[in-house]
Amino acid sequence: MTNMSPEQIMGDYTEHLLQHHQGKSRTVYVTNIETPFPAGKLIVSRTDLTGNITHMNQAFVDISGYSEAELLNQPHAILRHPDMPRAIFADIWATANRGEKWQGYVKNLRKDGGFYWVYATVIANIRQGKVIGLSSIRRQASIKKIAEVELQYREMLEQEPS
Amino acid sequence: MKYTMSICPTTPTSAMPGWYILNTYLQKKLNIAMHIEIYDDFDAQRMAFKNGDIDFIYANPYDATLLMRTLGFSALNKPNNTANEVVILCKADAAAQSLKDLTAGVKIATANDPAINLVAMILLESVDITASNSTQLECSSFVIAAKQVLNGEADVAFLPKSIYDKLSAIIKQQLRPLICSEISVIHNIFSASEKSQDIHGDISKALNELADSPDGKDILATIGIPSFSVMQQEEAEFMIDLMDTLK
Repeated sequence: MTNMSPEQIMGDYTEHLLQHHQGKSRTVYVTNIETPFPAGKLIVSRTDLTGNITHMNQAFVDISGYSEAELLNQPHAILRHPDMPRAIFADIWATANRGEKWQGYVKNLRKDGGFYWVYATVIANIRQGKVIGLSSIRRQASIKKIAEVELQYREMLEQEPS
Repeated sequence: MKYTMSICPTTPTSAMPGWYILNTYLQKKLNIAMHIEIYDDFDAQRMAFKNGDIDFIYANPYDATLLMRTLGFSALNKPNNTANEVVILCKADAAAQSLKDLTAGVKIATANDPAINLVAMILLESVDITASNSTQLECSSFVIAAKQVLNGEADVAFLPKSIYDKLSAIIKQQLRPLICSEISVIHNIFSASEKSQDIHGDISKALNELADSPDGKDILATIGIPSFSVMQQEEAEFMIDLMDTLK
């Protein structure tokens, strides 16, 4: 996963270094521009067991700002926003790998540095008793709930080791 | 062996004759004996699945989990270009101009179709309307649900888009769609029981080829499906995964 490039960013931005698993990191640039969730739609994607995107619907492509070709086989973490605590992603993987459903609010990063909030449900795709990947389905999040989790996530970030 | 075919209990009355004609067509084409059984409600139909009384069913996506993951049914065919989209509507002169104008205590008219209710409640969730802060008025059909809104008995109604689109212009003028889902990947599945396995291939092929003949096209027009195509098991499994995430 390559670093974001300032040339891709729309508007004023701040620079952040995201720490991913296995010691990898990525430089991202973020703005305060929110893209509204498309009314009536669901955003759908699937990843393999390494977290790389294998399937997506058009709503996923449209809201991310990337093209389908730019997203296919890329780590899902390409959408990770620095306002999201690392513990949330660790919890998603742990929950789904136990074969349980994870549900929660996620702030995603767009290619242009903007963001969008979703209410996500992640489940393991289990075939013949084996987990073959994860499906993530996002729906429109309640504004009230977003305000609540923003505070909670901010507190979690403050407590995270840098 | 005599087979039994069934369809979703909320299938519009206008499509019923088409399903009987399709049943007759399949019997003649495949030289089999097959009876069509219509259930008034989902509970009675689910009991029939569990009792092994149904061999083929054009099931809504909500029931696909029970059929395929619990009862051993297989997905044979899918309808093309007929996703189960949902319209939430209110009276044209209602104060609500969009979903966000709805408030706790809203009265909802529904036809108790679990797939429609599931998608509609997800749409309402984004404006903090849930089952616990709303009232549902169960109606015997979607048209009656729309009438409850027109009569002022309910604030909103959940309708399949396919039924909303067919309402008369006069009725539509009196209603206001607040939102229409655009999920596109959720649709009915023509599925079959394990005990009918011997003719799965024949039934699937016959449905797949319906759009190739004038008679078949007429049947498809009556049941409101442009055409069927063969559904891969993984495709069905993925749709079930998706439905599971929404429940």
